[in-house]
Parts: sequence; structure tokens; C-alpha cells
Amino acid sequence: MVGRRGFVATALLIAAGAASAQDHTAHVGGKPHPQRFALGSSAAVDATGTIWAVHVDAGRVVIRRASGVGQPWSMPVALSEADERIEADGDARPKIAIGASNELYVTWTHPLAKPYTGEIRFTRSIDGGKTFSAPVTVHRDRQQITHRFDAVAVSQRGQVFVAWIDRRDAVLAKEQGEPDYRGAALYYAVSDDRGASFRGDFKVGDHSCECCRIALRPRGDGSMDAMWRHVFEPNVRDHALAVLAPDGTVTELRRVTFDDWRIDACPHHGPSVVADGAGTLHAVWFAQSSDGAGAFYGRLGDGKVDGQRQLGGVAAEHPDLTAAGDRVVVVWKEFDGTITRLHAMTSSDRGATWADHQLASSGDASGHPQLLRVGNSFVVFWNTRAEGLTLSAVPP
Amino acid sequence: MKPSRVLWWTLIGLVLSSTLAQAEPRLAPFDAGSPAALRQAHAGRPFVLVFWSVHCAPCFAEMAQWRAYRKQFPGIPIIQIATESLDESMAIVGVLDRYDAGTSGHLAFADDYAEKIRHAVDPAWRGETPRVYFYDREHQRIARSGAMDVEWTRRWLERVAK
Repeated sequence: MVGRRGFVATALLIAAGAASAQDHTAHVGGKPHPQRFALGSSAAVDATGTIWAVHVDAGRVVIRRASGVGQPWSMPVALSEADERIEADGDARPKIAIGASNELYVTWTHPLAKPYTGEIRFTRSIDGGKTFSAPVTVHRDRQQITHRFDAVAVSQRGQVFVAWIDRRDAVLAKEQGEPDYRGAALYYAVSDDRGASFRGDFKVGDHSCECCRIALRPRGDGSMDAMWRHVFEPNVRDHALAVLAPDGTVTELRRVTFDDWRIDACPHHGPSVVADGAGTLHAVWFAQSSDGAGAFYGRLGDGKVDGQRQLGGVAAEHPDLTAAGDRVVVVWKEFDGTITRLHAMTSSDRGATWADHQLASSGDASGHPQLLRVGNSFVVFWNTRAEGLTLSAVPP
Repeated sequence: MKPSRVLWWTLIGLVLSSTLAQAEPRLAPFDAGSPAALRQAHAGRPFVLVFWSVHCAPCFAEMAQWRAYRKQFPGIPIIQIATESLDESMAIVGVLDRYDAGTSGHLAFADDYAEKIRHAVDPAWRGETPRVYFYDREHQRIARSGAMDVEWTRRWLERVAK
């Protein structure tokens, strides 16, 4: 519940945002950009078990923290300037990752005046959230083109990886008389100094889909797994995986899902990937195939998916997952026409058998659920219009 | 009520009114009641619902084709609806200015409870765009996802226009 103090603080932010927008008309195309409490949000857990959430309130990226399930959220602290537009719907939402010494790294996409364009913005706190750096643009390329759908993660060596979807190669192909470049490309940058600076832009590969979040997973050797919706020839929107090294070298991508979804469309529905204690990769994703549409779980094998299964019913969407040792937990949401229910399934044998759970429900709009690992337990973070930012414990 | 609170309400009112004054009049709301209302409004007539998104490059690419079909088949309303909420009207209008300038009658989702609006259109629609519903005279409909099949669409329009 937002109390009166919360309301006044929000009103303050709205007033400040509107005034600034008029002061900086050149930047925003001369129109104000009112944005109420947006549903696109993300969360991460620090070394002490505190949960940090980022979302957009009255047009600004804000950060809040809670000490655990059932605990109150702190008042929002604004991280972006009032005159900066922010994307905060669906898979385009602010992201947060946390370093081993509780460094807070936050990214978001700032849309530019031209449709479909944007910049990946970054700020950090190295004093446990007391102060944040002035936001910077991560990529060197500053064309007014797509740099969107940011993802951020911290490697096992403490390096900060930021990946995004980038259209520079599509633009170049068009200039060279090849208008049929499929999709966009994936790029990333790496920080060796806890976010003070970034090296890049390193190219992962051509022909990513253009509007789905990218999944990043730190590997034991300091590199990063990236999984994304790709556009395989001619227009198959299944998923690819590649390993991103901190020096900018990238392994050849491999196809990891095989639903053969042939479509020229924007699913706006990205994957998640984790590894269990034995190193097996588990993933969730969305696809439509001749067998039907839905949210899917499976283990990524060599040229095949093991144990693929559909999650929930036809309305299941936006799954996420995490793992620890032999435990794997999957969460998704499902709307029945009136209520959106938060479902989970848990496995204690690395995905061989599963138990189903219903965790929560909401009678109004909601964002995408996200699974968090807090110590040895699992918690689902879910931003809802009616209940605000919620945390639900997953049954052990 | 304390004076400071009156001041706040006044300020909020000013901000809201300036926002409304500058809101884009070209976008009408599409909510969970709209599918039924449109069927009623077009009783006995064919029509087409075209759902698109500001994130969807294939959607932009076919706006010119829809524009041409609107001109070619004036008896078949082709209704284009952005799946972003009216809160995002700046981004939506930015796309329309570029790809369908000068056209009136565009709609956008009335709010960001997209699941509810989508469910009212079709519980089987998973939110991908472009998503198009072709309603014939009896309002039997065909749903198609993905980039337009220009030939198929032309044949459908010619057939129901007769």
C-alpha cells in the first residue's frame, strides 16, 4: 500500500518531471512524457539477503529495497533525470545486477526521438545504495538507431557485462543495398572497474530478434552465457546461445531451442537460462509451433532439448527460472479473463520430476515475475498494479 | 485540509490539465469492451482489426500497405490498434507520424492491463504483433500473426467486398 507520504512523494516527482520536460523540450521532442507507476521492473539480491528493486515511477527510474518477504519497501530513490524518457513495459524494463561487495549496477533503455531507437544507460552505487553515479551511455556507437533491451550481469571475476540489441549492422546493410538483413544484432560491453568505465562494443552475432529480453548467466570461468531469440533462416524465431568472454571474443552461436517458429513478428517475450549444480543448463522460453503456442521449460542439450514441457495452460506467459544444486524452480503468470495467477513448479532432482504450486494472484495489471535466490530459499518478485511490488516465498 | 495540501492538489491539477491539453487527439482508446462494441457497430459488414506495437519493425513495414488497402477498399473498415497503452501515446504517435502520417482513426490500448484487453479480443492471442483479425459479413473471423501476406490479404478483401 502506498500511504499518504508515498502519494505526496509521487506527486512531487510528477510535478518535477513535467516542469523539467518543458525546460528541455529539444531533448524530448517538445512534448511532455507523463508516465505513471510502470509495471516493468526487476530485482536482485545482495550478499546480506536484502532485495533491491528497480522500476519506473512518474517517468524516472527508481530503486527501493526490502529486507525480505513480508517486509516493507523503502521509499523510492530516483536514479534517472526527470527529463529522460525511460522504457518500462514488458521485456523493456530497467534491470539490476549486484556485485559480490554489494555494488549495485542498474541499466535501462532511454528511447530517442525517432521511433524504435534508444540508448542503453547505466548507473552504479559502490557504497551500498547511499549514492549513485550520474547515468552514462554504455555503448560507443551513438547513431540514432536501436540500442535497446539491455541486460546486465556480474561475472564470477566481478566484471560487469551489459548486452543489448543493436541495429547498426541492419542500417549498414540497408545503406549497402541489402534491405533484407534479418532482425538486428547483439552487442555487449564489459567493465573491469566496477562500472567506472566500459570496454566495447563487442559484437555477439547478427540476426537476433528485435524485441525480446536477453538472458545472461555468469559462468565459472568469468565468461558469460547469453541466450536470446534469434532469427534463423529464413524467419525461424527460435533461440541461440553463445559464450561471451570479457576480452570481447565470442564463441560461435549454437541453436538451443527447436520449435521451428516461422514468423515475421514481434513476440516481445524473451528467455531465461540457469545452470544447476552439475552444470546442466535449464531454460524457459515462449514459442509457437505446429503443436501449439505456449511457455516452455527444457534442458539445453547438444542439438536438442531434454525434458521439454509446456508450462500451465494456453494463457501461461513470461516464465522465469533459477536453480541451486539439485533444485530448479520455474515461475510464470497466467490470466484467466479476470485474475492473473502466479504459478511455480519446483524440482529437487534437477528437472526429472516436478511439483506444482500457486503462489499469488492479482485482479489488475501486472509485470513479469522474476525468480530470486535468497540464501537457500527462492522468492518471486512480481510488480502488480493492485498490490504494488510483491515478494512471494516459493515452498521448500 | 492544510494549506500545503491545497497547494499540492492545485499543482497536480495544473500538471494534469497541461498534460491533457497536449495529449494527442489522434488516438482513441481500445478497451476490453471495444471488440463487442466494434462488432455491434459493424453489424452485417466486414471489418479488419490490425494490432501493432511500437516495438514491432514488421508492423511499421506494412503500414503503407494497409493505407493502400484502406483506399482501395473503402467499404471495409481497417481499424489499427497499438498494443501499447495511451500512456505511451508519444511513442505511438511518433511511429504514426513516420509511417502513416495524416490518417485519423487510430486506436491504442486504453491502459496497460494488456492481458485483459487481449483476452477480450481473443484468449488464444499471446500478444505477438502484427496480429490481424479478418471479420467477414457474418463476423466469422480469421486470425493471422506475423508480417502480412499481401496477396492473401488482397484476395480476402476482394472476396468480402463483393
